Parts: sequence; structure tokens; C-alpha cells
Amino acid sequence: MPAVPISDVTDDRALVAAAQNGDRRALDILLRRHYAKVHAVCRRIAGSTRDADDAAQEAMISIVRALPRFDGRSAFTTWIYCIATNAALDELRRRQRRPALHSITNDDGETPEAVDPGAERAVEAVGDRLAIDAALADLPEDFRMAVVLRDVGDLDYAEIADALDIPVGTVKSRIARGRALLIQQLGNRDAPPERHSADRSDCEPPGERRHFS
Amino acid sequence: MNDDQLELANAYLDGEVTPEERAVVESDAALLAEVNRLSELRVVLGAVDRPSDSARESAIAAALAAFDAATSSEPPAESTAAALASAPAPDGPPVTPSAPANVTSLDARRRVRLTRGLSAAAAALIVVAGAVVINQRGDDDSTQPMSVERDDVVTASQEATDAAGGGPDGTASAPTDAPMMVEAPVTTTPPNTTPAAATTTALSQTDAASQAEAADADADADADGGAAETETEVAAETDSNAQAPAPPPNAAAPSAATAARPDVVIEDANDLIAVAEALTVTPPDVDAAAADCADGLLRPDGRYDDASSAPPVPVAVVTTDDAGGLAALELDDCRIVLRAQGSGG
Repeated sequence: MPAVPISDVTDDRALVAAAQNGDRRALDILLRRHYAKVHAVCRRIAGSTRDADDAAQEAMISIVRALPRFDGRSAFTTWIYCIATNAALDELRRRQRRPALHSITNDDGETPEAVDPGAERAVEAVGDRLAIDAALADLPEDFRMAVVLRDVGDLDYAEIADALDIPVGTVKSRIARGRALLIQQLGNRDAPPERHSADRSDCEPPGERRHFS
Repeated sequence: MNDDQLELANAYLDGEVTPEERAVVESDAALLAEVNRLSELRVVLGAVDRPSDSARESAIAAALAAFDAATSSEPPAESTAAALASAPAPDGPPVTPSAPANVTSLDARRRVRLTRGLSAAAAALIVVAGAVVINQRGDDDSTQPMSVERDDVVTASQEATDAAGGGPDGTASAPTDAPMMVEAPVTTTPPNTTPAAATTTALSQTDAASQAEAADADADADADGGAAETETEVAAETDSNAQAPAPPPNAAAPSAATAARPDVVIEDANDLIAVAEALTVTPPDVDAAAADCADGLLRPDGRYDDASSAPPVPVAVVTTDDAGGLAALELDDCRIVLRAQGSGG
């Protein structure tokens, strides 16, 4: 059987095997094929395009470094989305440590009001786009990861359970509760957001999430 | 709806139900309505902007560099043709690797942002102190042509070359032919703003009346290949109907660096929104956008790039159209001027 040109290979497993064997071009193709989804997962978890750019780059590097240890027991996409999730969470924490430098308020501490009704409408238009980011940001991390891996990464429950190292039943619960909270937040944008915390009986202690790199 | 029903509706949407559970959902109008709501949410969540080409190339280049570093001490790989011979035929268009791109260190990128931000913060303190001094002098000296109110202090930065030349270019005026606003989470509103003046504000405007410098040349030289810069925080007077501060003698002459940058017209409102997104809602986002603008990372298409060339003076004006939609956004002193298709100004 004649060899298939590597640029025509669509099977991740073949590309992974080639990359593990040192084929740089196979790796290049593999990374390009999955970059957009990795970035999307990072975007939804980290909450901003810039942080997603950084997190996706970190994820790409981590994927390459960990690739020799990838044994194929899980799907390649499951594995890389897990790496992307961890990278995005790391980026999020890094961002939260950054100081807010330009925050200036009135002397009474109130946020300045918009001065033009048209301005408010324009902000609202942008706000519609940003509302989902805000709602996601307000979601407990455990819920957010499960929902994003399902709705952005298109992983099934078993794959999410594998990626997050939790039981399938927990995945099911987190997705249901996470989506319910998102709908609640998006449906009550004018109301002050409620803070919810994950049911810790469902979750691992912080810091015990699995790192692949 | 109880938790079990909620999980059932979600599992149905995700195709994770047994035939019996499926029948239960499809016979229950309330569950089906919940499934519809969840489905809409799923569409919204899945609608993520396509990443920029530059970000993709940068990430892949960095990953391949890591690969090269890891394999440099190993013998070259043998042909993988045999391993690929049994690969299935492609279902879609082939993916072709592109030419290698420059590798950008994330640490360096973050260091630039942080350094600039810290410099700006330090300069802001100097400006506030300076403004207080000026105010105090103004109280005693009636010949003082202007005073800078502390409440009017907003943030801005200025390219070192501009500062060295005697002041900012002063060209950051906002368009006046359309209703305008500024998403201004970090600005203060002048107390005596008139209705006419209230239609236009800026995230920050330069004012040569007071300026201070914060040197971050060393750090920038590390991160920007020796391009030492000084960031300046200046106070701004934004009340256009009040007595405007007198511009410095050379205020009308923009620097060569800024004058050389043309306005950019974009046609895709999403690109415009992407810029607005970076500048609105929360102060940290404004900080980040200003820093990225200063770093030259914020591109005219609203996405980010790694090329660092733009000077750091974040002046942002959002313009709305007649219907209140987002029409234009200017980062004037960065010389990134964006116009939505069909909008004037």
C-alpha cells in the first residue's frame, strides 16, 4: 500500500504516532488541527481573548512536552483539552494576581455614570457579548470546566470524567448545575450576581487537579 | 424542576440517556422546554471567536521550538511512512504547515505588560502629587493660566519621544458628528459637564499642563530589544465647555511616530466589538488593553499581535451610530482609528 502523504492524514492516532517518532511535520499538522478548539476552551475558561492566547500557547507547549508520555488510552482530544483546561486555569490565576493599576473612581467611590443614552445602548450591545464571559467567570471552577469541556470541547461525559478524573455521575451533576447557574445569571443580568460555590462533596480539594505537564 | 429532572434534561440534550429516559423526557413538556433552554445556552457557549492568525502561529512556533529543543540531542527520526501507510484517507481539506513564525516568550510578553503597568501606576502617583502642587500654587498665584483638578485626573501614557519633544501631540480629539460615548469605567465625569460636552468623553486624554515621567527604560530594554521607553501619566481636563488648558507650544505638531500611522478602516463590526471588548467593562481589562496597545500587541483588527511598535498613549473613544449601535472606536494616540462600515467621522 502506498504511503499517504502526511499532510493528508486525518487520523489523530497516526499523527500522534508520527510525532512521537520525531516527525516534526506531523506534530505541526496535529497542533494546527486542534489549535482552534484548544483556544476556544481556553477562551471560555480564562474569559478573555488575550489570556486565551497565552493559555493556548502554554497548552501547545505542554502538549509537545508531554506527548512522549501520551499512551493513547484516552482520545487525543480528551487529553489535550484537559491540558488546555489546566493551562487556562493557570492563566486565570496568574491574571488574578496582576494588580489593577488604572482603577480610578470618584472621591465617593462611585463608578462614573454613562453620560449618553446612546452610549448605554452601545455598551449594552457589547455587554450582550460579554455577559456570557461574566456569567462563566462567576461560575465555580469545577462547574465551568465541565460545562466548557462539554459545550465547547464536545467531549462526552465519559471523556470529561477521564479528563477531570472524576466519576461520570459527578460530571452529570456539574454540567446540570453549571448550566442552570449560567441560565440564571444570563436571565438576571440586571440583578446583582449571586455567588455560588461548588458542592465540595462533588469536588476534589483545590490543588489536586491533575496536571499532565 | 428538581435536580433529577434537571440532570435528565441535560443528559437528554447531551445524548447521554437510556431509551427509557429518552421516552420520559419526550413525554414531558416541561422537560422539553428545559431542553430547549439548555440548547440555546449551548449555542451561545459554543460561539467563540476564531483565534487570530498571529496568536496561532506564535503558539505553534513556540510549541515546535519546544519540540526542537527536546529532540535536538536525539538522532533524527526515521521515516514515518510505514506508520502512516494504513492511515485513512482524509475527510476534509489537508492541513498544510506554514512557514515557521517567530517564537514569542510569554514571560517576556507578560513582563512588558506588568512593567508598563507599574510604571504607569508610579507615574500616576507623581501626577496626582503634581496636580495638588499646581492647585496649591494656583490658589496663591492668580497668573497661573490653568489648574488641574484632582478629580479630573485620568490615566494616559505618552511615548518617550513625545515627552522629550515637549509634550503630547494633543490630537486626541473625539469625533463630533455622531452621538458619542465612552465606556469609561476608569474615568471621572467633570462636575460641570454640559449636555453638549457630555456626548463626548475619553477614557483618557492628554494634557500637557501637567505630566510626570516614570522611567522603565531598563525593563523595557530587556523586553523590547533595547527600545527604552518612558511612560508618562498625565492629568486631563475633559470639560470642553470649561476653559480648556492651553496647549503647549508644540502641541499641534504630532510626533513623527504617531503621524506616520494611518487610520484603519474595518468593515466587520465584530472586529470593532473585539476592541471595545478589550477596553470595556472592568478596569483590569482597560489596563490590559492600554498596556497591549502600548506594547503594540493590539492590532487594528481588534486582535492581538506580538509586534511591538506603537507608542503608549491610551485614548479611547467609542462612537455610536444613530441607532445607538457601536460605530467606531478610536485609540487615537496609538493611531489606531477604527471606523465601522458606513459610519462617518
